[in-house]
Amino acid sequence: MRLADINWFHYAAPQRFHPLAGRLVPWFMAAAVLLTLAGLYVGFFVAPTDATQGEVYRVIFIHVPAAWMSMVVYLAMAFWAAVGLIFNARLASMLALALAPTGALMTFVALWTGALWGKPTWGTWWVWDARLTSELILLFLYIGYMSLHAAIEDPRRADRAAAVLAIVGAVVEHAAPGRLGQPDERAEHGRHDARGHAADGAGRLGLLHRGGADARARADGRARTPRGLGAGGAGRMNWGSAAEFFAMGGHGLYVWGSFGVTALAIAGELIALARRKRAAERKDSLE
Amino acid sequence: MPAPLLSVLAAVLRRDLRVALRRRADTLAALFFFVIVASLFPIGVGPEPALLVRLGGGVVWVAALLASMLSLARLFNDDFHDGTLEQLLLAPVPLPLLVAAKTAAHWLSSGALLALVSPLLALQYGLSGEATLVLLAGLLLGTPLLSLVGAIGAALTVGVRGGGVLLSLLVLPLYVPVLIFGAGAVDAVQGGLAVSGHFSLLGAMLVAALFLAPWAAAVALRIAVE
Repeated sequence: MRLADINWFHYAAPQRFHPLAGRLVPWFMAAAVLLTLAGLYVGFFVAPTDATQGEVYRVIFIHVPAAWMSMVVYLAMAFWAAVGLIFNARLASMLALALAPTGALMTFVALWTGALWGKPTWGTWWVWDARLTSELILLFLYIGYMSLHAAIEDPRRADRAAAVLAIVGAVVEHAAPGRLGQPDERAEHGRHDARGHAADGAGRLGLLHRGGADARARADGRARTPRGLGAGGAGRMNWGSAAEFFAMGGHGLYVWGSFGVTALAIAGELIALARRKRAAERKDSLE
Repeated sequence: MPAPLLSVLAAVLRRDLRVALRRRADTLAALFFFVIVASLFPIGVGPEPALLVRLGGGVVWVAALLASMLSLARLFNDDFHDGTLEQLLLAPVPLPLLVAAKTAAHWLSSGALLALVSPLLALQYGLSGEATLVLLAGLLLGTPLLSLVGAIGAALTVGVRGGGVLLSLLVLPLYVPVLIFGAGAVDAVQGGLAVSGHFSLLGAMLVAALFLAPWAAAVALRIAVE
């Protein structure tokens, strides 16, 4: 079968996409559950204690992926909204609208876990630097997209207006990150270094990855120092008892505050999805 | 014989300016809002001069943002309600250019006025002569940007129920880069640093918006009206 023979738009019709999605959802859910459990296990029981940050660095295991997701999902949402606008494809717009709440949730989780990680490590819940500020603006962009779509009654007009907004937001938010390095420079009385700007902006995403990688590298490399809390770098079981597990080296509030809110957020999303599905089915059965 | 492009655009500009002059109340209301908001801060945070000097640039900029945003509603909504907007969409003139003309008229009757009044507010905050100049220049560069980007938001929400608050929600995140560099310039000059970088970026954003914003707003208008 040649590449040219494939009908790339076969599933672009909602009637064909719906059964396909129905078949795929259980597989994706199963994979999500398995990966979550594996990640939690590695995060709590395999990853050793960090020498400087203690247990609270485990919040990074949520914070970095959530931040990364928040940005990627926005780009995906803008992309599908653009496809819906340009090709007049209803399904693409539906997909964009479906991505928005997830992206907004990821952004919120990133901001929340970032604050809970920042307080014990950096000493402050929040700081108005370029990265945090642009993540906050991203949350506003998501909320704006969802609000605009909800305010317009005609669904096609809503899709297209929201698509324009998503694209403009992508240009302003994602094309501008290099520029937003400026406030940092100001604080350090630095020079107006074009390379510094670009590095800060382009490296913003990279920094988040590096943050996660750094935390893990430091944990592996430096946690060889013997600590009271059971086996440092080698052990599979970091915790001597359940009490120690819950205490998280004194940082229990921050760690469980992060993991707890994230779990609540995910549960909330699943419940909202189930409710919407029931409402849609009820509406179908009435017609 | 179709009218030449420039005379059509000039006609739209003149019409909008005339309407703004006749509805003086709307125009002046935004201006007074600007002054009042800027005057509220010293009352709220206390009149200590050292504090006000540091706050002044940022406060005036935020007040300008809010006042600009308030006046955006009348950019397309009035024309939408009386049918003029549909006629504009049907005109044999490129819609982005018409939008640019309307936005120019809007800026002349809102943002430009705010910028010109800003030295008086700078006086209230005790800003130095240099800082006042940077504030004025920044606002002169920045307020057209606010009108242009705001026009996109106004076009998206034309005729939408609850449009005013929604417009603010949509447009304020897009205003943030302008605020960062505008207020940052005042901050920089007060700290003895160069402002050329800030102005370069404001200028670059303005040029980009001059080109892209009317086009985006035109797309949004067609979506809204059709």
